[in-house]
Amino acid sequence: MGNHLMVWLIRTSLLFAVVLSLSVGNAFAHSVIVSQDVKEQTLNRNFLFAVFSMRVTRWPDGRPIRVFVLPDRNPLHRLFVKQHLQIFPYQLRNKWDRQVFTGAGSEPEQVDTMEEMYRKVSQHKGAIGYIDKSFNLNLEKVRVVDEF
Amino acid sequence: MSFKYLPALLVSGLSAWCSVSYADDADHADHDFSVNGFITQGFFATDHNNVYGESSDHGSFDFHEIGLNTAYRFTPKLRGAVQVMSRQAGEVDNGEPKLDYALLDYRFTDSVEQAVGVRVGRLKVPFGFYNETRDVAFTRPSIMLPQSLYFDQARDLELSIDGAILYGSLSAPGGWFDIDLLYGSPQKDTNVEYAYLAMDAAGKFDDSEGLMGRIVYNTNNGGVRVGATVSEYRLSYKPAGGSFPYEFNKGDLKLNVAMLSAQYNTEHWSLTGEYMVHDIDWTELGGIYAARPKTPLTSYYLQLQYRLNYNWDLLLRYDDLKLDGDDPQGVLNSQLFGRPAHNFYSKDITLGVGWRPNADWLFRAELHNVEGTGWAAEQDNQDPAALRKYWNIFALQATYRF
Repeated sequence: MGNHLMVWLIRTSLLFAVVLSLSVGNAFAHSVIVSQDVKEQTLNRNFLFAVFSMRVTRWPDGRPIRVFVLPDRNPLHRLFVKQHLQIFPYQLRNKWDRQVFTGAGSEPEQVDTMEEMYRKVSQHKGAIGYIDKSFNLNLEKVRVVDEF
Repeated sequence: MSFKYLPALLVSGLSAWCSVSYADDADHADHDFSVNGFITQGFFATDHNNVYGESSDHGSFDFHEIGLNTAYRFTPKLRGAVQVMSRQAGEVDNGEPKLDYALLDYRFTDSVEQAVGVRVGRLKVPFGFYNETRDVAFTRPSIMLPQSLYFDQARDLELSIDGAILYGSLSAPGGWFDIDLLYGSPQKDTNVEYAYLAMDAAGKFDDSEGLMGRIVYNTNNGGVRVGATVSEYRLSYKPAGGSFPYEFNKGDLKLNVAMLSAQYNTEHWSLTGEYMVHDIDWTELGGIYAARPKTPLTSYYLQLQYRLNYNWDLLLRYDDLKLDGDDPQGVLNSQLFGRPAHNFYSKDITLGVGWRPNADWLFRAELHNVEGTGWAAEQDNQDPAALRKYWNIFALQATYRF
């Protein structure tokens, strides 16, 4: 019986240690994440606004930016757009549509779940997205450049 | 300068390049290559006068818009994009697929402070807030755009242009400027003759040249947008030896446009207004227009949109067109041209509702209460004497995008 308890305790604390070491410093904020190859350490709101509205399409080093978003009605998307970018989701959608249907630009790639967001941003070069605070990030795969 | 073969050249070049570079990198391909499209079907019923087919009889389904576009990023700086459109609209458009745009876009600089580039090929005309995407239902606030500024009759002239645009997004105190400078050769077909000569003339416009500039200041993250558009078009008329009153002299029809646009956006409300003075100069063409060779077409609209939630929106708009701003009731023009006075102005009060059950579908319904027939298309209303001054339009529209 005592043995079992010890094993359980060890297992649990190991698990906690792993989880802690993997998660972001501030567990109370959502994160803007980029793929590891992106050189920027932090991104300001102006730059994020230009990137997510697809007005700026390259990183400062000249490589293309790959933007990932959740669907328009997703609560985290709404929060990110309204609170952080300080614009309304319908305005972003209008901008994207205008660009796509005039040939002037493109729209972000849409992902449907947090797991997909994490996977896409971690696997593609020059990628940027945002992720919920409850999601456990492996900081060897993505980097946090801003919080909201 | 002729841009006649530019779009064709671009398309063949693009497709050749796509087929070569598309295959070699699967990861890049799924990102760099994209396809989008939409299908719209409309229904129009009027108590008098026709819009988009014989709407005054039993209503008309004679309206659809189908668009398919693709874009490809060749390098970080160079993109290409093509859109093909089929539009059926009564007797105005016959549904024949047309190359809507086909362009190459090279972006010199790409930063928040300045994103500047050039586009060449067949380009959408950057005129006011709505012109570039006028055929894309998802980008319209209503089924019919305010006809005083975006009159359907002259759409081919306003639709696309073969030439080049220098564009830029430049940061400014409190926001940023979007700037477009365009030079090229506008489309010119029989519909343009109807719009500016009120008939399918004996001769035709055989050459065209256009210059346009638009600047929009965005502040409060695009919550407030204020813009100005100016343009100068010349359409060269070539007579075919017809006889008066169906023929004109060889010469240029000169079209000058000055337009102001403003929009205020909140989470639930959008208030939009645009004002345009469009000077039309028939002096060189003479013919029936010798009687009044220059007129300032004057128009404006005020539009209020209310978004209840993601799914529902409402629209209220007042739209006002005077074909001759110096003759707002059309009295003088009626005497000169032997058409009813109400043929020279239109006042349209529009009520609309939109329903978006999900991201792919959009349904709209709207009512127009119209006084005047200034924008009633000649093609759908062949007998001007039969036009009625007061009329109503009921319209329905379904759109699917992919």
